[in-house]
Amino acid sequence: MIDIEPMIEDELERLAPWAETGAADLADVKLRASLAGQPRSHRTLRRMAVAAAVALALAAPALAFSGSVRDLLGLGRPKPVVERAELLLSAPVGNGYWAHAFTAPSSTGGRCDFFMLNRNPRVAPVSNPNGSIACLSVDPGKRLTRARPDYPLNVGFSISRRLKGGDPAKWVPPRVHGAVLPSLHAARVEVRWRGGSLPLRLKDNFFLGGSPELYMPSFARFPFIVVAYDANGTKIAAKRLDSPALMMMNGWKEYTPAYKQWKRTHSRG
Amino acid sequence: MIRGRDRLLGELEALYVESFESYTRVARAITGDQERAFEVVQEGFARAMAVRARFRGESPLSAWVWRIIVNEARNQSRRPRTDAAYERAEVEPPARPAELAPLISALPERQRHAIFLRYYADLDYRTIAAVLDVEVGTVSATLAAAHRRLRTALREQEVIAGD
Repeated sequence: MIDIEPMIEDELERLAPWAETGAADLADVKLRASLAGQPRSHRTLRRMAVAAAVALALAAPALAFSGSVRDLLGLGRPKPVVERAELLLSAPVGNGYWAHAFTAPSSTGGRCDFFMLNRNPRVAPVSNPNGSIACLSVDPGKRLTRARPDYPLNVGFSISRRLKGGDPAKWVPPRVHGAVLPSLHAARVEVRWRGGSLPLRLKDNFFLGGSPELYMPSFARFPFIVVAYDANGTKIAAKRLDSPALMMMNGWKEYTPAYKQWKRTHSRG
Repeated sequence: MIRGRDRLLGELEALYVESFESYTRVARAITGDQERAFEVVQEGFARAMAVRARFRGESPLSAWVWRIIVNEARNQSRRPRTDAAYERAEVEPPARPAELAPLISALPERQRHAIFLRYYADLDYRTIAAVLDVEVGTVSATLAAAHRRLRTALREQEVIAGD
């Protein structure tokens, strides 16, 4: 008797790993929903304009839309009530910068997670967020950054802008944040890649960190994987960072030919 | 009424944030393409938000969205691909050759979708029944038939390999 169920599970996991589902984009969904009643030609034009704006603005998980981009897109949104914000965690992210993660009620009765980026390891009075913001319109009890039993490691990756142009000293390196399922009792979380690793700060199952090493790394160093360990050093959860986002690319369509080209070049040597 | 619709919008947003990966995996399994899967999920949720007033609450909200997504994925998978050159990068080679993949893709559509919803989305039989618009017993029978087919096909493969 062949036990078929584990085989199916294995095969499906191999065909579409959790780590490669790409980045969620709630703002895009809301935009599409708002255009749903309009003629197709209008939808296409508006979506093209928006796509261009988004492509210029960021190549990171779109749940990490900056406030200014969302305003640019005219996406009315809930805002964090910063006066009631609670600090989740602070971590150095390189280039002298620190990221401070907060959670706060949203202006519409929901909840927001947001980031402040500055050069101060201590949290200054919380002002308007200058990092990414993610909000739910309703349900203040529900955090956005949280893990679930079937999704034990929730990972977000964000970057404010490309390094080229502007003052390099004012460039904030990419950040990784997320949550581990509490029942796994994570004691340590890090990003691992071929030839290196980056420890992330961990508090109350929320983790945060960043480094210039995560900015457009060489293909030779892929894949980049966030790994959580328990107190014995046993790996308890892992999730691959979105490869195209790391390379500041808009998706697999752009990443795949570039990677294949690199592989061809390097297999000759 | 407006309040109820706003609450529903919030629930849809929460559902999207929580379950994006599950929806995308199933959509990808049905369409066979990561980019199409993303389109399916985005369009599916956008449609759900736009027509949320039609949600009657007869089944869970997630099942209602699943049905929209599965239908959208089914439609997408029937359209010819405009970008035939697209292929997913294999950063890490597969650990072993695919034995089951062609067998799963050869299953009848309902069996395939039931398998995806069961194993990718981890849905219970009742929810799968609501998504596929069939009785719960039919889900059970459909999955059992799919398992039987796969077992038989694997046995045949083993025999051929053993010859």
